[in-house]
Amino acid sequence: MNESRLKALITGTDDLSGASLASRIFLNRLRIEVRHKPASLPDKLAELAAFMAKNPFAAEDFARL
Amino acid sequence: MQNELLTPAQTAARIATGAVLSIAGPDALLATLPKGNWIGGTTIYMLTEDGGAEVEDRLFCSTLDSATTASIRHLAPDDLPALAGGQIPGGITLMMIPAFSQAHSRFALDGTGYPGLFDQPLMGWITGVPLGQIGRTAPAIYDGRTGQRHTEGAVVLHVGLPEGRRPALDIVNIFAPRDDLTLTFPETGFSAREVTVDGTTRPLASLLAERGIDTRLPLIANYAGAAINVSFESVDPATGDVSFYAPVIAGVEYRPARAMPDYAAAFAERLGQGGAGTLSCNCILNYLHGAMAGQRTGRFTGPVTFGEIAYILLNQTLVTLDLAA
Repeated sequence: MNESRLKALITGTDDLSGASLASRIFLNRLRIEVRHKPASLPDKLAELAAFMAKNPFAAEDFARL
Repeated sequence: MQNELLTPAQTAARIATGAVLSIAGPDALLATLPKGNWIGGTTIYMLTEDGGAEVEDRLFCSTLDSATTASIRHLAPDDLPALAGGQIPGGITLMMIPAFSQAHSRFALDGTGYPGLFDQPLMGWITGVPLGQIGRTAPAIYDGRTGQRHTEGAVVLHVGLPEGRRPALDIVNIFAPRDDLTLTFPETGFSAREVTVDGTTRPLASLLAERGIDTRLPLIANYAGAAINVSFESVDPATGDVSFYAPVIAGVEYRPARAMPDYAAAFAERLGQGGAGTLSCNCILNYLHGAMAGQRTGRFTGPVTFGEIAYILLNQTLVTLDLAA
């Protein structure tokens, strides 16, 4: 998944219908952190990419969107 | 997995087989159990196949018969960030934390940032006491490996599963948000005095009274499609302090829940006929406000708790973990 798609996930408000509970709560945490501190976006993009790389279920969740 | 209400003697016999167990029950009964592969937490409130009940003579035992391996740890509050360090790849983690403990609040406030927390299902619950004992008796947890009772920290059971299993952790929230009021809080915490509504910050306690918000019902936040509840603990009209059973998060939008006329029927409708062999727990507030004593809620049985854990601390929510998925 490219960076612009990851960025849209974190800065957006879309629901992740059908995604695992883990992916929904994890993404929500990143969204809150970026909302409170916009400068943290690059770090959160890296965190989301690492989460997907480590966890196939998360990669599947986000790929379906 | 088997969920059973067992006598202490039956439970001890099960432990003696080497089975891996998650046990809920009265403190006095947990204290009698032999060492083994189990963790335990205190509650006398249970959802059984016959309905909600106060059970003082038996223990609710979930036998994890698909476990291929298990390890048990007691973590002090300072060690909670290392929670995921004991994960067994492909497995699950179960956790119990005593209500009103430091670990309870630290996990609730900081847990989502713990490394690796979301890498595998983390299910658990906050242990309690009989309601008449709140403030007089401390909720407890047990590390079955040592037999040690704790009133602080967390007991954690890391479980390995057969290859190819995909255990499914989910929540059932019977509440729906009202669409006429959105609240945001300026600070994260278990209590608040002020709230922002339509861009105006004002005293929360007076808003609750003015808008007729029923504080037996939770506030609901939308976590990317997951409805996450925060329940009211108390409102002090004199000081304006409003306290919660889980933290409200600064900047997150919360909506009060719509009225719920029949909790047990709502759960039964949402749960259908599934649930046998599923690990689950439900909230003491649902049990009380929903008058669930004696009411059946389908086949999802388990402890009634002072807070539920599905990766994060939850309120007024049923948590389910299906190991057969």
